[in-house]
Amino acid sequence: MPDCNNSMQLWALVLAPLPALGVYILGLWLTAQAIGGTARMRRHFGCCAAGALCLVSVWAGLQLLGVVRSREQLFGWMVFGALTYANLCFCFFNFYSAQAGALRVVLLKVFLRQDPEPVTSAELFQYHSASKVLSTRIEQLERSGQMECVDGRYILRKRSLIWIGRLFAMLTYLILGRAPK
Amino acid sequence: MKGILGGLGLFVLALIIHLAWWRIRLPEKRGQALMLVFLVTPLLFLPLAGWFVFSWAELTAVGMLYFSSAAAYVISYAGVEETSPSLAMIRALEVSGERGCLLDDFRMLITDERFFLPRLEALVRSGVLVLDNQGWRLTPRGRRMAQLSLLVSNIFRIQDNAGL
Repeated sequence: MPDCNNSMQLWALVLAPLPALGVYILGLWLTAQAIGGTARMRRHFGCCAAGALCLVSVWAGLQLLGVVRSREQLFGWMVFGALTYANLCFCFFNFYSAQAGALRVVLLKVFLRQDPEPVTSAELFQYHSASKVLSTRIEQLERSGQMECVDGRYILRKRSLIWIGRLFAMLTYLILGRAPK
Repeated sequence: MKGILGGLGLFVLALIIHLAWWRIRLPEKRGQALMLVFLVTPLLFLPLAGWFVFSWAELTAVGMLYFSSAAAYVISYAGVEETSPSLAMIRALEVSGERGCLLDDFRMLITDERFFLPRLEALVRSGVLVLDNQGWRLTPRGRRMAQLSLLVSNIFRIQDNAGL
């Protein structure tokens, strides 16, 4: 890791991705209070960009103060900061998305609503089932333009999710040695 | 650059250990085993840090890069174990090509047996839910997780959209 002139400022470079993540989370919270509703991709991108701006400001400030000795050192810190910030944003984005869309998390909330009373299988399947999951996913995929219904047939319109699917299929082969279920 | 190489190097090393373990014998509790791999690997290589002459700040940077990468991987790993309904539908659309898919095709694909029950069973396996004679019930751990999830949803005003 590149060296720099002052240990306090070195710590500022090391910890810079954390306030940037804070800006991302704060942005989501503020927009949730102002606009409401579950944040979609554009709102996530916007808040993530605001965090990235915070990160760049830290780098620029420390460079202006002459903390980082050379451009190479600054580049090293930028790579470290960008990678760490991207990872943290990815984790938070997935954590956030899981609260809204992951079956397991939503199931937990269903059970909590009836807690401490048990939920029978009949009750569970009366209101929550794969057919409800299907109708919601169809609506989501149509709304996001991934697929379109033409004369009763659903046709693929965008290829972005295909690549994600292929990546996971490849990883499943590599890690588990089998095709995805 | 040694901090970046240290963080990413450790992460790649943990991935290799994880891959080797999984290919030799699949662990029963894969989530816990994965956490173990990513927590133990840096401890094994901590003594080498002195050899690379890392300062505390640099070690922190290595740790931040390593643990953030590991967390991102652990989150993504769920997609390796279980296919999301949306991805399964997109795969079906890709295979069907110009013909597309009928609603019935999707109904045959997204079934309780394939997507709903395995999630419930996974929740039981991980000690979050119990199934007794009266039905499904949250364990204390499951209750804490559900309450945390509800809290986060309230803070960010997140609405459920999983179709439940």
